[in-house]
Amino acid sequence: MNIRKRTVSVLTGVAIIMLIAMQMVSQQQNIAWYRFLTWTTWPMIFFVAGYAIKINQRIVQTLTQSILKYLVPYFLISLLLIASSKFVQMFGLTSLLNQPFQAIRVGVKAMLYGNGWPGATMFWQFETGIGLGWALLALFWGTIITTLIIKIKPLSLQIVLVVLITYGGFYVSRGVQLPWSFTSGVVVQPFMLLGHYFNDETKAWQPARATILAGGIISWIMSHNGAYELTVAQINHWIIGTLAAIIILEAILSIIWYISEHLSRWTMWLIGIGKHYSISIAILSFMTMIVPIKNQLNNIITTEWLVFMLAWVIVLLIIIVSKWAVIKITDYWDKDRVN
Amino acid sequence: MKRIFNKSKFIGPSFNGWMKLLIIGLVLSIVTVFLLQFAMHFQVWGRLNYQSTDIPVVLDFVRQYMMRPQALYSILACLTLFIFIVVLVNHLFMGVAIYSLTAIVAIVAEYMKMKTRNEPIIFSDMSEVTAVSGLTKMVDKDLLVAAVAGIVILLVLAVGLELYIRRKKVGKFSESVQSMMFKQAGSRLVVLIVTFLMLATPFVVNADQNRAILNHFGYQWQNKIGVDDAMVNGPIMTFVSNISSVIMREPAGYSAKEMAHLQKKYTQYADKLNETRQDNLKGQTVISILSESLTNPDDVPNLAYKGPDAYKNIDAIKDKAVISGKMLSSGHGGGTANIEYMTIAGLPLATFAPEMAVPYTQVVPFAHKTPILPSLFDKREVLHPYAGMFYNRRDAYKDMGIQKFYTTDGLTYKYPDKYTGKLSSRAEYPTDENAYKFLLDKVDTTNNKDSQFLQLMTMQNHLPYSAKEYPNSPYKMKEPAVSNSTKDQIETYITGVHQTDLATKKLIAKVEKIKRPITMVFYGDHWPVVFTFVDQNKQMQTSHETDYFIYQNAAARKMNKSKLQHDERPYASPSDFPALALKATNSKLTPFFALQTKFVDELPALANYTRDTFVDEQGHKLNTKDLTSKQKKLLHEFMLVQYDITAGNHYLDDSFTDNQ
Repeated sequence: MNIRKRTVSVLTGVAIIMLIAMQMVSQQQNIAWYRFLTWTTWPMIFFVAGYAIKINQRIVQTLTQSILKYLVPYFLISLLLIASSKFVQMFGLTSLLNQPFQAIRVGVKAMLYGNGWPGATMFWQFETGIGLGWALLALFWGTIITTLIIKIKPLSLQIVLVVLITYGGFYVSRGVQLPWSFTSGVVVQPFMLLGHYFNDETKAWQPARATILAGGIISWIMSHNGAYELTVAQINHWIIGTLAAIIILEAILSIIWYISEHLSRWTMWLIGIGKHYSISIAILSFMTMIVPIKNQLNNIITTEWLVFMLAWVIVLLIIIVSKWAVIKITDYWDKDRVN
Repeated sequence: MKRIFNKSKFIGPSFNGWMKLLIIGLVLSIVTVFLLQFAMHFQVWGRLNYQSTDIPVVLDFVRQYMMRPQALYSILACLTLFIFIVVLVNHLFMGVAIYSLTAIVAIVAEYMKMKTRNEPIIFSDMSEVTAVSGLTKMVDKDLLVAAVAGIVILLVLAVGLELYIRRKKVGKFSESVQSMMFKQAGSRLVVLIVTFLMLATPFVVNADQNRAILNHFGYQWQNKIGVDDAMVNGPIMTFVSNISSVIMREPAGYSAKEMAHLQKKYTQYADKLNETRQDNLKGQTVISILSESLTNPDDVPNLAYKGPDAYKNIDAIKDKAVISGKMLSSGHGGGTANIEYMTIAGLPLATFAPEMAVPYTQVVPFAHKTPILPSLFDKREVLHPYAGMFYNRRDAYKDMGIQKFYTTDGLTYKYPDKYTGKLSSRAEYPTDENAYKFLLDKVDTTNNKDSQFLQLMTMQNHLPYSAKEYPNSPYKMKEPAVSNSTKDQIETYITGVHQTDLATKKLIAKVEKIKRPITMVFYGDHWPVVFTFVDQNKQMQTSHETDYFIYQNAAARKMNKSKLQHDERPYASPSDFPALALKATNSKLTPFFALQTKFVDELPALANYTRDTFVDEQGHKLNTKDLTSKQKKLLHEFMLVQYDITAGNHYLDDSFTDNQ
């Protein structure tokens, strides 16, 4: 495995760990930390997805892969969420579990529209959202759009296009959430394009301590200003925010590069966590919507940071175990199909 | 140009170089914003308990500010300026030094303005940048020395490092510095243009666009009070918010038709008033004396001092004057020019837009017309025993038709040295007694047939009120308990007031004997800054009350037969003075001054230190909503006229404002 590939693999693992942290941290009590995690995590997730796009791949092939990688987990987990919600309602388990949808109809509506949060849609005001599953839809759209963009030459034109559509995405999202988190998939194009070209060995890239320091300062400033909230593609400052997020991403990439080079034992572990990240996101999406893990822990532990740490570790373990099970089942299914 | 672009290929610093530049810029910007905010909070004023001299407390206020979205704007503004400077000079250390120099000057200036007036620097203050020599006298000497020393060290260091880099072109440090610089003109030009446009934006967009940009960064406009605005939004945002400010917002119902109606209405009203008025300004003198920072020490809550009554003569003159009372100043510790503007233009600050902070820089240069009381006179002169470049006065006076402006730095009209004597060798400014002598000289030399307007702005009681400025002071402050430096300042101030009191008595005695009819408007412009123990929030009205009177000598009393009642206006806005002076001289009125007269006759006094607030004859506060419908209508008509002549479409023709 070359150093760039290893760096991205480690980055994926770190992104999943940070995504879990973002879901577990209390927005009310630790707003700065939550914001910091949004600035660092989302660019990483989409950078990784951009890296996965092969330059010579046909569009149909990309489309098929993206459907399998992002849309299938999205719909499966959404259906499971709707069923679980009904299950919780039927058996009166609301003291133990969350009931994200008041009715199946509401869940189906959220699943079909694919909005992360409640809000103004093209049709009407939605009272609920599908939760973290939006990220899978945004990854799907992001991959399709990037695949189309990289077909256009030269690079300078690609950059101009990305700038324009990113601006357009943020502009549209001021008024309405488009279906299937399309605007989110649009505004992440800078990270996906960066990720894609990181895969190109001919494009020079060097980690630098100056970038790490600059990214650190910028993430501190931006975290105090607001969150990099891509669920509905609404951030305080589009241009500054995107530029800042790119620098923060570059800083993290440099850090991960150094980690990949010097801490090989940890890198293998992180690479393991990062594998099949779309499944990890789907499982995390289910967990955050159904299992009130922090509430349960709060009943037995009063220390906020300890609750956060425990919840983080427990969810990570559940994801590792669930992912292992899912992979085993799909492997078995694949073998069975081959036989 | 084409050759330059072709040659340049837009090669700028490497990404790593940019990151290094960004780190330096961000660190400097954060430090600048931090120190600017520190200057807002590290003050003795204690405004809303957000100012303190306790450093840990102040640091906590600054920390809170740095967490706000407004801090991002300030940091970005500083960062843009830094990049612009560095790219412009294309030498890292020189760029850092120039930026730091600018930042040090800004921080020291902000701190000093807050210290003296508890107001942040606003855009209109830039008109005083040329008055460096005058300003430095008002700056804390130690701070000034430290700032100058810091600047010199910075420059020496920068030059040394630049020479070192030039000599040692090879080496890790040199290469690192070089990687941050531009090697080609094209990319440098692009960055320069982009950063310049970003810096220039607030200066070219209109007020609403400017506000929209600021709002995007969470700007929270603090109605009325600049210091609150600076503490919440940071002094940079406050400064930018004042760049393209609104003079006055259009009152409801403003139209050509409505203004034609008002023109007719107040022309008729002026005609009616003029039936009993005399066309008698010829051969008369009207004097307006702005007594710097003058207030009666006995009016200061909780202040007790030992020594002779510092104010007994002015109290006695007030009793004998044709009218006297309390003036509701717009300022506290400063804002002299604003008060002065109101006293001659008759337009209250409270009815302008809150963003309009200094009329001489924001209204007069742009107004279609500035009708002022002096414009009714043949001779119009202003005397000021100090430098004349503050508040854009020179230009503003020219626009307003003041013929001569005597200042100590005047080239054409120099304030004579013989009238600049001071009370002691340690005193900063010429005495009021000397200023009065010059004033009387100007009265004596006028042609008897001409009408004459003279304005004197004194300086004797201007800050800084140094300790032992007057060596033989009989005054000792007893209460309340304050620091020794504050005590010294207050004793110096009271001694100065006492000297003003004695000089004013002599002046009145001399004026009384002059055969030429003289009407004298006398007022203290605002409280001094020394009474830091007075809570401005709880004592808002009291701390903005100064004394005023209109005195007429025997010749004037005989000639004018003024219909003014002594207690007619126990509380007056400075903007009431033109109408009151014209009533005292029983002079004919233009429709504009007739409207002002109606305002004074029928409305309570406007409290210009705030908005929508009046003070009635008993000293009670009223809000606009408390006015009768007739009063509200008059106020609205007044605002329509004020808007038309300052910021509107000038539907009123010249006959409304000019002497016919």
